[in-house]
Amino acid sequence: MAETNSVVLVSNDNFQFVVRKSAATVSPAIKSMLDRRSNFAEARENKIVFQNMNAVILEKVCEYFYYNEKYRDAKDVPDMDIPPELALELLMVADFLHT
Amino acid sequence: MGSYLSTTAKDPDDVTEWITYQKRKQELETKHKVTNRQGSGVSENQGTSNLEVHNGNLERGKGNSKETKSETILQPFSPKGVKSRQNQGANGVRGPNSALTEFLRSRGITANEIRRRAEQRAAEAAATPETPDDTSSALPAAVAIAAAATTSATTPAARRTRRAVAEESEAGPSTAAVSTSTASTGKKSKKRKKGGDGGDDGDHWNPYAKAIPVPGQIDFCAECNCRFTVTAYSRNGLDGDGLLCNTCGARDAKTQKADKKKRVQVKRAKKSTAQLILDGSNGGPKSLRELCINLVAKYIDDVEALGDIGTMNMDLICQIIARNRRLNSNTMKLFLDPGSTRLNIYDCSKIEADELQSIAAIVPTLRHLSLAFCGNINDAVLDYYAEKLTSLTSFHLGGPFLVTKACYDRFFRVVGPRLTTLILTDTARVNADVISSLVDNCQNLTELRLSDLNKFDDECVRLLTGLGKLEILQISNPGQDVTSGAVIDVLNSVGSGLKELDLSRCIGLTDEVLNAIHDCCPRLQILSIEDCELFTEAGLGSLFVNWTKNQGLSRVNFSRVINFSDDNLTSLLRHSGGTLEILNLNSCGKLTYAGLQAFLVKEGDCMKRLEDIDLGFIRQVDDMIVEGLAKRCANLRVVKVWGVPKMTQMVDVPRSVTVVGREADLL
Repeated sequence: MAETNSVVLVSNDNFQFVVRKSAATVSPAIKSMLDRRSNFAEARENKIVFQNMNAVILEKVCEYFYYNEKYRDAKDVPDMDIPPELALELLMVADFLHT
Repeated sequence: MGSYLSTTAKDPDDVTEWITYQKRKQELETKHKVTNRQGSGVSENQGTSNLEVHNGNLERGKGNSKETKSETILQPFSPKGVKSRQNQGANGVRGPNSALTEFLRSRGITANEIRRRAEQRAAEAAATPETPDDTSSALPAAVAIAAAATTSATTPAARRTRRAVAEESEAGPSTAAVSTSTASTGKKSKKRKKGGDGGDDGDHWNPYAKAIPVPGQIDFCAECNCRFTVTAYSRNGLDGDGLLCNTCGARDAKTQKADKKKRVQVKRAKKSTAQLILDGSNGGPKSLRELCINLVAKYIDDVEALGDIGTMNMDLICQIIARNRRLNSNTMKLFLDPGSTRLNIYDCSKIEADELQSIAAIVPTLRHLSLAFCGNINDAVLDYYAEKLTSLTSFHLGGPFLVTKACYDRFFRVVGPRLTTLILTDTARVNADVISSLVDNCQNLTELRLSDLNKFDDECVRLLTGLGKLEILQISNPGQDVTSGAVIDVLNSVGSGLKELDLSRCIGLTDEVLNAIHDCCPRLQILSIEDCELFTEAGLGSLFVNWTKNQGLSRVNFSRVINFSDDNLTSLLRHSGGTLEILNLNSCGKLTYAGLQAFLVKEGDCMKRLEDIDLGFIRQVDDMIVEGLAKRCANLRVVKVWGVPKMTQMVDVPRSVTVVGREADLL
């Protein structure tokens, strides 16, 4: 079980990523999933299973969470490095996560 | 004139070209009544004074120095020069020229040459005031000082060219051009002297700079005075007074290079931030969606299918690749999603007609189709659309200049009754016949935008009175005169339903139109009267005073309405201050600082919804105004300040407000 200030993100091929909550809540979708008031299973178990993402994509998403958190108040931010072959899949996921 | 051929040393091919050139020239010049030269290439003296001048000049030139002469005046004959000269003749209308001017032009004697000679002439005029030269009095004193230096070093060649100029001035109307150039160069040289210009600005020709020695020659270093061999890498001295030797040059090389690199880097960084600002980004981290869309757009040529990414994302990708000019037949296919109802192709210029036709075959369910820059679309395609796109209700055609009137008529007959939105721009084939067919058939139109139609006139405007359901009407930049009377007729019949009215660049409209808007358009929310210069201050004022029928405008475009004044601004804000979201006051030059400040202090509080304001080219605007505006308008996102010199980098606005177009961001 992860600590309370982190959350476990699970891909559809059962890879688990432990991510700091402050970073994961960059996505409004994840934020609302983890909202205690909503009493979702995700919020209780502190674990979110994404059926629509495999490990490769989810890893990139986690990377983006940290990238966004790191540069939140910065200016002239360098673009994150994304392999072109992942772009379309990531785009769909980004829509899902509202990021 | 026999010597003429021998000095130029032309080969036989050139001579034949010369002959054909002369023949064409003959044809051209018979209009101007200028002396002809006979086919042999040897001019025959026909007693015209111009030609005598020409002859005399050549003879005298021979007497002076044959070699320099053939260098400067009689350069080797080039067919290219002839071609450009003929082009010139075909393009512009030229008055009668002296034979000499004609000849010099055919030789490709450039403006630099002329400037140099003009300078010399000025110098001579200053030194010997008795020379008849009407421009000498206007020349600045600096030239006179310079003249002393140049006259002492007069070479035979200089004397000859000077004489040539003097003769040219006698010869005819071309004098005017020469003398104006003299005056302007005189001014320039004065500036150069004042600034103590170090001759490193390569493109400016400096008459006082020392001639640059050719690599391989011996020169003396400007700093240490040592003797050294000039190479291509020799550097200029800091004062611009000569070249430096290797040791002196190498001393500063490193720092100079580093400085230059730094300057380039700073410039590049500023450029990229300026670009970001234009794209509406605040420089923070981009969203994952944005990153992915940019990436997909970058590799669009390698994408086989976009898949289920959603129409919004598809549209964004389409916009990006259209902007990068990579939207072609192949990439267009990615956006054709069978079953979808909306399609925007933002740039059809690289898409062939049959590819455009295939849109209707692949996506027959379309309700909204927008084709911008569709110059390739033709009658066959439009007929096919009419047949296949059975649910089309919204149609935008940008630049369909191949589509004929008859085809528009057929199209409107079939599709017209179900069309609710029609946007037609940039074509010369739409005239009153087409508009009349449009009005007859498209009775359900709620949105009609007609812009940049070359044959759009009052008659077309009057026809629009028949469209009773209109809510959005745009008549902008008509090719013919559109007068107030016709527009008032339209407003009287359809004005009561209008929510948006765009009369941009209808430059003939007068205050009566504003009165008609005031009287007939109670539901109006969006108004654009860009570039309507005839609207007066009083007319603009009366539009908003006592306009209780109208609940307030949300978007207003008054850009380049030159009579828009402080009072007008106040009355606009009294009326619509609470509802305004977008306000464009670009180039409203009559607004004063006091007026702007008053509008911020007194009326600013009411502009709660304002998101976007354009204050471009209002010179009075400064940091204080924008700061005050940002403080009072909580929703403000964008302030455009192109061409506002008083805006500085120090302007203190919240991060949510983007200031676009500051000089400080670009320079």
